[in-house]
Amino acid sequence: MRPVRFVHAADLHLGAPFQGVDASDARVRAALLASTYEALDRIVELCLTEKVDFLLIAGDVHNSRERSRPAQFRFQAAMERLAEAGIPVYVARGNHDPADGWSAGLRLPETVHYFSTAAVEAFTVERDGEPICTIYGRGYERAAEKRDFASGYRRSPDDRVAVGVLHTNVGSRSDFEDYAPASMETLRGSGMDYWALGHIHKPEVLCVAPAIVYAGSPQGLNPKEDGLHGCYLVEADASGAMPEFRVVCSVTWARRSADASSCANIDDVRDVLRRVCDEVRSDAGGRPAIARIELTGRCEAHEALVSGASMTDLLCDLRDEQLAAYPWVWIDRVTDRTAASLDIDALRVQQDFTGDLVRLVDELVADPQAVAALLAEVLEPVEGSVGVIESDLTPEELVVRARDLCLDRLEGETR
Amino acid sequence: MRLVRIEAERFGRIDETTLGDLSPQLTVVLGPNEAGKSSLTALVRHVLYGFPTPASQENPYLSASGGKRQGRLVFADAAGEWVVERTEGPRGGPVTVRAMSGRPRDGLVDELTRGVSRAAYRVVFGFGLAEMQQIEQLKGKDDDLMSRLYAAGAGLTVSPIDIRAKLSERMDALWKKGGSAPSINKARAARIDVRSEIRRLEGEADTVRADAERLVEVEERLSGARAERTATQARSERLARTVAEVDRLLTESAQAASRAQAVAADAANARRAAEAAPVDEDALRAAEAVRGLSAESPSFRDRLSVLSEQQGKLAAVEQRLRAALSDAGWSEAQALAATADAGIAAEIENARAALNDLSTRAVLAVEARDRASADVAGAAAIAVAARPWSVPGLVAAGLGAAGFAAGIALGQTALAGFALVIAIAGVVLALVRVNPMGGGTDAAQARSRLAAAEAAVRAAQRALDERTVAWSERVRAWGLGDGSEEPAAVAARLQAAREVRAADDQRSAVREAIVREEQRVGSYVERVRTSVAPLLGEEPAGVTPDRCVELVGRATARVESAALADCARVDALREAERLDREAEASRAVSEKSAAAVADLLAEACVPGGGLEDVRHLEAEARLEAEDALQTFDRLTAEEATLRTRIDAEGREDRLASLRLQVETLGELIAADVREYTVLTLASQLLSRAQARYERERQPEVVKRAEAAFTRMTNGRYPHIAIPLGKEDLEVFTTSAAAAGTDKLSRGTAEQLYLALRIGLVDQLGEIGAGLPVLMDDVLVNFSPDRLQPAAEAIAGLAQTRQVVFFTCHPAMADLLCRVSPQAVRIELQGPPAHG
Repeated sequence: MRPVRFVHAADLHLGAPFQGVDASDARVRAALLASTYEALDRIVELCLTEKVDFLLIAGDVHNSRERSRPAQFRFQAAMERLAEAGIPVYVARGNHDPADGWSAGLRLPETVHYFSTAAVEAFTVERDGEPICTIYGRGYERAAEKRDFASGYRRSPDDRVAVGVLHTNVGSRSDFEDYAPASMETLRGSGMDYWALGHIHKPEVLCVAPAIVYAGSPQGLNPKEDGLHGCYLVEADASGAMPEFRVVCSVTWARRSADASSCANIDDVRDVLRRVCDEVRSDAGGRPAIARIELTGRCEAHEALVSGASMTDLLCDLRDEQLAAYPWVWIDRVTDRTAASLDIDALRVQQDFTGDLVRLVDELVADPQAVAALLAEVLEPVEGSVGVIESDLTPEELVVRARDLCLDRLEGETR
Repeated sequence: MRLVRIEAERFGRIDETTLGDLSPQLTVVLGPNEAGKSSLTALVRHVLYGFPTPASQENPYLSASGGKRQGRLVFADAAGEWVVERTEGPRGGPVTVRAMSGRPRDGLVDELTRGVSRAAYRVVFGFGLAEMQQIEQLKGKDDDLMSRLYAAGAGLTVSPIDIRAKLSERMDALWKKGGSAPSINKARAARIDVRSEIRRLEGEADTVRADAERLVEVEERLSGARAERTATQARSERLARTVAEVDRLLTESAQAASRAQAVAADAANARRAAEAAPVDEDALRAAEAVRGLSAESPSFRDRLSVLSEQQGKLAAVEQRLRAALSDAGWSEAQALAATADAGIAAEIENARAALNDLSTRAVLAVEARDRASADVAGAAAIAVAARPWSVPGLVAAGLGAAGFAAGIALGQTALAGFALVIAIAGVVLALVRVNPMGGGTDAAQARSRLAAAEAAVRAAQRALDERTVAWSERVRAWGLGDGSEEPAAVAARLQAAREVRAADDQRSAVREAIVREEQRVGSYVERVRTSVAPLLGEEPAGVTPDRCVELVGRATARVESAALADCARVDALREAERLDREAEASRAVSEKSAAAVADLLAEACVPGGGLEDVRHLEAEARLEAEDALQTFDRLTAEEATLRTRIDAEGREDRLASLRLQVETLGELIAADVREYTVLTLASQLLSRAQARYERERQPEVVKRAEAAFTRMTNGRYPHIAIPLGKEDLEVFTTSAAAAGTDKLSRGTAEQLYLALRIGLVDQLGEIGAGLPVLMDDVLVNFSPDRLQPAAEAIAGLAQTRQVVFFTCHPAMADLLCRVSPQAVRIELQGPPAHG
């Protein structure tokens, strides 16, 4: 008998807002706003082209909080296309689209099955009247689901192929909400041939046999979700499952660190950033990309970079240039972590003002509480106005940058 | 670099005035009031930094002559001398640098003023009593000279306060409490607006809740309507197909039945016609034989012709036979009995040659004997007369040789042998005639030769006879002996025998051919008699070969006619059968269509009904389908309307876009806050470092200023403090009592300001190294006990910096020249007296 073929997707987050991105260009905004829908369309195309037996979605189809009806309209249209092709869809609700969350209440085709939120539910998929696969799944009743669902999954001896669908945080990773936590042992012990998991947005194969796979979000939703995103096309039979990753994202995110040590001026920095953009474009495989670049290294160009105006002008020019190229690359942010080409150690032993400054900062950095207090003092007025701002630099890094800025200005004039 | 001369071309009231040459150290310029001391001080500043605009509050020093203000400064160093000239114009007026000697130095003004702002120059380098206090007034301001003083003392060329000011400037561009222009404030305001817009749109979304609920209901109903539309449409289409099919089948059935009837009638007609047609059975029975005879008729006709030819040929052969027999005189039996083998002719020719030879020999022997006899008779007489050569012998030898050659050439060995014998005989004969030439010999020899010759005659005759007898026997043995036995005659008879035999062979062959043809003809005739004669009513005996062709022709015509008629009959029967089958098939089609109609009607739930019944059903179904379609269309339209209304003008998309905009603004704010944080931290760090430096390290500038001030005050104030960032200076008395400048007397305060300038300028190093310090009567408020130390301080400063001291007090000029003997003293003329 031909192996079971299906697509495993998760975390579509249709219509979800993109977070932490500077999309001040209208073209970039339009691409981002369309991207989750385009990823869904590509998943449907993949199902139709590959003539799969079914589609699995391991949670977070929508963001209930945004109450986006277009998102649900688009999902409904996609499900109808699959229904016309006779491809059933099995959906487990996740923390972003729990059963008690908002829904437009649109009617979905009968080929779309939502797993029960009360207990693990099994659906048997048939081909030509013969059962070919059993799919087990359970959805979230509410968003903050802390219970262990995975232990409720148990393969039946009659199953030819058993697939588990779950929105979970395997291993309770600290950087993700610890919803429906599960351990690898529990998952392995359930007897499933394939675990179709959702919740973690980066695609990842946790285990090959049995296959335990996070499909990741089909479209990266913020700068941290970099790289190529998509879903898995899976072939499974009694001997096991073979997942094959397929890219469906419309826009890729990229985070790069670039060494600017050799940059003597702002034009050199421009060249370095251009090279990074070319790399990002190449890695994106023909898709538009949004790049967040961190400049590092001690360099002579540091002085120009710390001048906000130079960096703003450079970024403006580069954005225009890179948007005009094909496919475009949008530079979301350039984080300047360069340092002045100063010999800090030499300055540290100088018995003058700069030496005093370096030693003062050394003492300060050695005392985290003092740093925190200083930072609080500095930030309090502005945060009182705009709210607390997450910084990608630690307090100590901020102090050191401030020190380097002072030294730049003091030494820069001397030089 | 030092200032050599100051030249006022047009400036205030000192047009066309020159001051110089100035000392590289101290120059004391003494002039009465209005002599132009302040104007000269200002001119230096304006030539270096540009003429002030009308908007500025500075004294413009407009030229008394009314032309554009213009002035020149002549600078010199070891490398040359240069004139810096500026003329009033836009942006301070254009400045030119002209080399009087040495290389061009276009950037000289920048070199001179680098690190010294216009305000700093005015307060520190070119000042009068009006500017004295500014050193304190500008403290904490943009051009805080104290910070410069501090920086210089701290080993820095840039003041931390300047840096902080720049940082603060950038910080202010980023964020300002209660501000609207800084970028963070702007982004925050924009974010508030966008959030407000989001809330408004979300509020609008709530207002369409009823529509949304209705949409869910419509979606539900639409699903049912879609199914109903599909089902009714399918039923309507199915029934329409049934109506069309039933109609078609009924028509087909009727047409098939009608066709079956017509075809059956055609079959009956065809069958009747076939059965009524006559049949020539005799002809059909004989048809095969007659057709065979007819086919052979041409060859039969040829055979009759051949037979006739053979018979003619037989007659000719027999006639030739008879003629041959007649020529040979033989009967046919005799001729046929004779041997006529091929070798006989050669044997006859050999015999003829042999007999001729023997005859010739006999004749020659006789002639020899006759000659011997004559020799005997006239031996002596003829001895002399005898010719040396026998002519006959030579002739015989010649002929024999010729015959031999001819025989060899023709391959006739018999002839060649015979000719050879003749030739030998001729030679012998000739030789025999020679011998008597010995002549005249004796008769005995002649007689002897005669006897020999006679013996030779006998022998020759005997040989001839024997040969002749043998020949006769041979001829008879051949059966060719009836008549002359001469070889020629025998040869003729042999030829006749051969001809007879050949004629006989030919006759036999012709006869066999005739017999053979006659047999064939007979056979054909017999078949005609058997097959044709009865058919034609002819008597068999009356059938002769000559009539056969005609009879067969007639019989053939009859047979073909009968066959044709029979074929037509058979075809008619076959057509009848085919029509029978066709009729049967049409009947089957008709029945099948009728059965299909019954099935369709049963399937359409009108068993036993008719076309009209199903038409009625179909009309009903069509109406139902139209109703369902209308319902579906209505719901679809309503759904579209609801969806449009719910998401009027792309509200949801706009919401999404606005949310992204909030994120974007958040990012911009975050980036700016990050920069603002670093800037603020930097400012704080500088402040802390300055505090520490101030606390732990006394700047050299302050030390020098303190020393100068202490000296000028004759030790009353041993200590000064310059709290950075504060607006006041503090001095300390010997009792360590601190006092602000507002507590000091004017003279003491001015001593403090002068001391600070001295300390500052003394520490500037390369900054403003080429700029002279111009002091405009700054000691007038000093008490006499403090003038001397002040003058000494100024003279001390002039050791390292060029100083030009203007005064209207001769005593002051004297004092300065006294404490600095190298000083250059220049006296200015006062203004012309009125009247």
